[in-house]
Amino acid sequence: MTAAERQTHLESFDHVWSTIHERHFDASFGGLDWPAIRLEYRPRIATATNASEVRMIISKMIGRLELSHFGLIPADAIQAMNEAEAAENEADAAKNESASLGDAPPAKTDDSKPTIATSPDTPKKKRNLDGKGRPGFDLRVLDGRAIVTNVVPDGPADVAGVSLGWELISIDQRAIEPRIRTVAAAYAESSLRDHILRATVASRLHGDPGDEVDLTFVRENDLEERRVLELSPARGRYAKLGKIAEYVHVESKNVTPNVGYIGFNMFLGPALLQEFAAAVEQFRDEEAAGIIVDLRGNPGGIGFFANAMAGWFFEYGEHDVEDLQLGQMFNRDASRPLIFSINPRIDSYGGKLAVLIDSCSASTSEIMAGGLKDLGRARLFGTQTAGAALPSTIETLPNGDGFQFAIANYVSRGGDVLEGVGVAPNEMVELSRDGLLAGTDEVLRAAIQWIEQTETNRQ
Amino acid sequence: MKTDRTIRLDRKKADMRTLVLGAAIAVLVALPCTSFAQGDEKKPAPADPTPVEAVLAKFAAASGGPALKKIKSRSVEGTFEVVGQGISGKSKVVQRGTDMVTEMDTPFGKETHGVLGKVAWEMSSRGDRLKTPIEFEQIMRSLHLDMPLRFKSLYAKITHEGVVEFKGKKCAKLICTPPSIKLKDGTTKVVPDEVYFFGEESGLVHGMEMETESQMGKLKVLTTAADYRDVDGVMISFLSTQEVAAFGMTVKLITTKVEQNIELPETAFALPASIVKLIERDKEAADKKKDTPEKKAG
Repeated sequence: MTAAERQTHLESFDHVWSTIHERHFDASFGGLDWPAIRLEYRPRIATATNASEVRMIISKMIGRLELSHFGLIPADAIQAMNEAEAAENEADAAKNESASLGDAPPAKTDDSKPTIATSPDTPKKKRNLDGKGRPGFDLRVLDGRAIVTNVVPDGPADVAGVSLGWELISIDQRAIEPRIRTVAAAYAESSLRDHILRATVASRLHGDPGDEVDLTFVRENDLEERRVLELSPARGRYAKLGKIAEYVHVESKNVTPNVGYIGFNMFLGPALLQEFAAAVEQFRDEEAAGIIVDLRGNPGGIGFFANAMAGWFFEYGEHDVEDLQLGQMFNRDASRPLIFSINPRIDSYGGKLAVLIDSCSASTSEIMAGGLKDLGRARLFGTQTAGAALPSTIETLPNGDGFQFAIANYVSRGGDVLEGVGVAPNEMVELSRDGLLAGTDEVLRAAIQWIEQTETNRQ
Repeated sequence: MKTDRTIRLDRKKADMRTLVLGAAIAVLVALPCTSFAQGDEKKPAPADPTPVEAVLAKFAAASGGPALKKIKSRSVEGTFEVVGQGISGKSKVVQRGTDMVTEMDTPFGKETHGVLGKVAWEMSSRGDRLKTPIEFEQIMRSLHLDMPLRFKSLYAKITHEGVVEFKGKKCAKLICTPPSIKLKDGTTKVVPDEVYFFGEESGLVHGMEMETESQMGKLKVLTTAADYRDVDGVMISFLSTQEVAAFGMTVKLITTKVEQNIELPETAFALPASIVKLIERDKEAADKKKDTPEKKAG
């Protein structure tokens, strides 16, 4: 290690130590003498022989806090992700150059499924990944494989015959497995792994409406299927708040004559609250035995939307209002916590409430699910949530490593810290590829069974 | 220099952070900050005033004097903005005596806060609710259109903490201790001090710091008042900011229109039906409790 490298590592150490010293949400550092810890660990950097050793020393120091969501992401993992992205960009550039030199344009069949390409070597222009075009399906990375978990009726994927349980193996003729493997390794110890894996793959499916995305799937019996989907405008209403903008769609339906279902992709936009309220009121008026709120894959949004929605499940006058809260957020500078209070409503919904969650349910989704569970109002089905109830941030250190840390702390109504841990379901139900191939959403099915069984017992 | 990947992750995190901040906007905007309009002293100034009396006398005189006695109603329109977050909206406050209704168009939908008689309430996308007694008292203190005449009587104790620098201006710092509140259950609740900064030169209120009671908990809010203008002989602040340091949030409020002593429709001061329902439900619960015989030992 050269003197310059050592200096860079010392600066990285100092950055981590100072950040925690100045910004950690717990000014008492969990009872640790943080200045003394600096004196204990910093000299070890001076005698470390390589970057890996430095990382281990800093990680040990961070580990003394005994908190999740504080950690280092190795520079080589970040580099691998960037190199993969750079390689993709180069390949795109080469392909575009080839196309501009007069290669054949993409051909389409003119049958009932016009979006299925017949040319295997269709050149593609680089898509605007921030565009509002969507392929009409959702996915999860299950056991390292990107599996289709939802297909939007009449959307591009549906029209092209894409089905639940199909495994996506390439996007624009580029295998996605290496990227999944790299990201999975980088986030191996993070509760955010699945959340980031999904985003990593899904974000590459975006573009402007009308753009084409060339996808290869593996269906049942290991049969490969290639589809070129023409992206359609994102579903829902455009909602924007400050720097955040998204198309928010709400799905409300009866999954059985006696069970209502409400799903939405993000907590954003005033229309969402109105549509949610309307759906609850409708199921209430229909005297549905239960309502299922699907928060799977929901990354969160406006925090207090969770309070507003939760209020529909508590009757005014039947609860101690001061006690009715989803949880509390603690900021270092706050002498008092931020309370996620619930306003109970007159004519609320009093039936069974099931909430579906998974490892891609984050932030406000976790606040809502965790609070409703702790208050004993909802039963949760699915898998542990992402543990991203709070803003954590990732900074790049002088030596290239990433440093992730949470800047506040959220404690659910029952006293559980959610950050880096997530919310555990009451009933652990995992999606399986076999189940999806058979057309079954096992998590939804479990929730319906619980509601209907309870109703049967009641009768 | 950050890598693309890291920046992308940072952006996702930053997005989440923004959303947390959104929660406090309504609480802040709903604070009665528009009434840094001040008036006349009721009694002649004492020959040898204490430092507190001197500050309050100057404050009252600078605020417009006798004109304030003539103000019976007020309508204030304005805008609010969460600084640096790209979040903004409009607000309108109508006030008659101490009855007040604030309507806000927020990014989360329409929101209404009111104080009518002894009832303080809010209606929003979060649901409707009746405010707590301590919230009521905190709001009520600033609702008196003749507040300067009552300033001293609004607090149990006022102490002069000397002249300090406040936002670049020399100000007299007064610590004002509100009276405790007696709750329905017979217990007493201590209300936190409110700290006022009166400009040494202008005599006007330049800032106020208080711990605001809200449904979200206790928020320490620093309000700064500026851009005072004469409206019907009363000085009113047309620009104020509310800072919540704990959440790194600043809300800027700009007053665009003030009208006083105008005819305000009765309907503007009628309790909304959903609030009436809450009151009735509370009354039913109280009656039920009263009618239920207590189990006695033995």
